[in-house]
Amino acid sequence: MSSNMIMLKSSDGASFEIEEAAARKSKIIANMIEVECVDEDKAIPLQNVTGNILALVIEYCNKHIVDDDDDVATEEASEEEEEAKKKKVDDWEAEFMNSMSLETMFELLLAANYLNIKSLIDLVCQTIANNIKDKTPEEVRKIFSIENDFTPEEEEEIRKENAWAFG
Amino acid sequence: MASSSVPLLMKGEEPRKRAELPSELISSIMLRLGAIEILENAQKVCKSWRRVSKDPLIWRNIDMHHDLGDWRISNYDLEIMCRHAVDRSQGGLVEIDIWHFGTDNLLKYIADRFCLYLSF
Repeated sequence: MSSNMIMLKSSDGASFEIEEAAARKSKIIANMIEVECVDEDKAIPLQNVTGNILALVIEYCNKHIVDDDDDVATEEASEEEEEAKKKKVDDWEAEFMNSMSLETMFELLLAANYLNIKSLIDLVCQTIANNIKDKTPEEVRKIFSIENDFTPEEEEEIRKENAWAFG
Repeated sequence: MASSSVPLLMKGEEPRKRAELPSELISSIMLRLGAIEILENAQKVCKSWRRVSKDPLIWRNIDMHHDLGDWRISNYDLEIMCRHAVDRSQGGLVEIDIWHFGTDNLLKYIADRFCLYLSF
């Protein structure tokens, strides 16, 4: 496997070097590589991703490219080994997500979406879902800085729909 | 004077206003919530969350899971809630998990609306 390195540049001007194999986790970057619009000595500008978020994306991609390599090397791994490996990845992902605020998670989700990294989108969505499960609408708004943009008529419609609530 | 072709964020500049989540991401989050969580909380966040909550695709798999120790549950008529969730699937319901409150009436209501699997 080639270990070509490519450069990524964040919206705030930070440059990151990343293995091509890891960068290919992003469908967008993989496509750019396919159609050869990646210049070897020029960084790919990512206008929608800031440096601190890009660093997280790269950490995730690097981690998962290693896992994919493992898959090839241990094709005949026993079920137990498979399970242990899966647990290791799950643990890493849990810790990775645990290490950031909901604010950062939100930014990471937008970046994963922009870069089209399906598994990262799934991971962040699941973590956000777990986090907002028991939150009131007001708490969710606060977490994501969402404005309550309902008109009084819409509020009324929601209230009326609420036929399942006693009292 | 022509402006520079590479706009840079100046130091100390206010960070841009938080972007809104595109609806496919709201949808992806909502698909990971239970029916009660969507109806009671998520759909009441804002217009775009409410719009997504009305998409029948969100209701293909309905999970009425709830924590029996949750005091809020005693405030709800789960059967009415479940019917409402089934209505939102607009016939697209594929799987439903209704836990312990299924009555004959509710099951008939669901069965009449093209459900492929029932689990209890």
